[in-house]
Amino acid sequence: MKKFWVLLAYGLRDQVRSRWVLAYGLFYFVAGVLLLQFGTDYRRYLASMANVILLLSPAVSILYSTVHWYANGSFRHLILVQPVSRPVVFFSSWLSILVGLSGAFVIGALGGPVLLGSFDARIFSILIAGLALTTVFSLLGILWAVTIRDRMKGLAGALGTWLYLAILHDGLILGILMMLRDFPMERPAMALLALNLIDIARLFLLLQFDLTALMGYTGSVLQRMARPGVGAAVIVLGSLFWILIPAIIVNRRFQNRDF
Amino acid sequence: MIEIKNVRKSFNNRPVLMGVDFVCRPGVVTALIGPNSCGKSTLLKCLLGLVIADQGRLAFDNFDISQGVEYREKLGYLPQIVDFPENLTVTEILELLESLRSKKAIKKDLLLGQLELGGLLNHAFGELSGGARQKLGAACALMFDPDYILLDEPTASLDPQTALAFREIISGQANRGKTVLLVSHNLSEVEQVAQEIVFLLEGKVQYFGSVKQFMNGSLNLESALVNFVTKRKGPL
Repeated sequence: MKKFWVLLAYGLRDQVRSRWVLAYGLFYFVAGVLLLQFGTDYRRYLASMANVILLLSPAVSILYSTVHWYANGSFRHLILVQPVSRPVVFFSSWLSILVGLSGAFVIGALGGPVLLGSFDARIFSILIAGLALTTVFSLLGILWAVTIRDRMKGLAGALGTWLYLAILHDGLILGILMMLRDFPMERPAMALLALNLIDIARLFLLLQFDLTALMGYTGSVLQRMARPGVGAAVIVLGSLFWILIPAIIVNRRFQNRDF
Repeated sequence: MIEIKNVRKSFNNRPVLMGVDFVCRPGVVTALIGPNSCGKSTLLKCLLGLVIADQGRLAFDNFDISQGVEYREKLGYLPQIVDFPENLTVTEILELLESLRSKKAIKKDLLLGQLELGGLLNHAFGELSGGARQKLGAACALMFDPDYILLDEPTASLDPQTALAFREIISGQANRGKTVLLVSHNLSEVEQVAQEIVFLLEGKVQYFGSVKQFMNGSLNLESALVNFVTKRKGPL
């Protein structure tokens, strides 16, 4: 266990000094300040931040983790030839990326409201959604990098995953709901929703704030269908599924992979 | 002693190693040579645990590597391309590797002096030249005074003077009873430092024995290799 903490600590030192991680945190800080300064009310600020986070956090997390995993391949080989087991190397590498990105996101997103004295506990819901998205999309990025040897193909796969889950899946659900609007669609819609963590995060934020009009194509449809009990179940089960399944698959692939 | 017995490995049903057998003895530099794609790197990676062999035995002093990672406490490895996180300093990299072993890095200060790395300790890895990176890799490989030393094209990106110094270090290690396995395309280097060679071709060992015997009166190792292949397969 000591080796795990050592690798995590040195991985974090590398992340903290990364200009990309710094730029990511700075972006959220600047976005927060601008939205609070020029927005009309706090609800609108929350809605705008939620939309930015639902789009940007998955993109940055999946692309950064894919690129970082490929770029540090030779270093990881050097660590793997030390007396360290593969699970220790995998989990410490992933967690250093996750903690680095999450730290930048939390500090950046909280920085604006704290600085301008506009802090409100409702922002924690946005932080929870952003952290869940960072966790899952960093895993998905590593899954591509562990599975595909060709860096360009892996990156294209990561980009395609984000594009599908952030944009296409939403349109697909909307199309299905519109086509079958004469049928009872609550359960199928919830099942389709649970297939996409971005929609789960959107549902979570929707249930926290009354932001229907500002929450994407499926927002109004979701609010009509998601009774509090059903919505909470989808959020909890969907999030667990999206965190556990990729973690198990990536870890297994990493254990059995030839480097 | 490093024991490699009937090792087989295929990638996508394409055999790369087809029953490789040889041993690396303590106090001897054994060079693994052969053309590109003959399986040298795969075999080295099998020994390091980076590639999992389909069949066969890979053992360090009778410790089968499938039993665990403990053997790596006594292992030093220098890859062809040394890469560490760009933002970590040389000192941090050395500390990181020290933290992963139970043994002290007893040769660290000596190697930092020999390889002229003393002035770069506070530099980030991303600021180092290719040669300095390779020297750092060499220091990392040897600082624990390992019993087994695996080297993959160790002098490929070193200047002639540093390459010469590094060859002396390799020979010195073997003279101190260490087991050294050197993978190299540089046949003059092999001739200078190795006592035994393994010639690998198409995933099989074509020759394993002393360098002197292999050369058998030839002018140099390169011409001996050409003669050997010509005898086996006809003119190149």
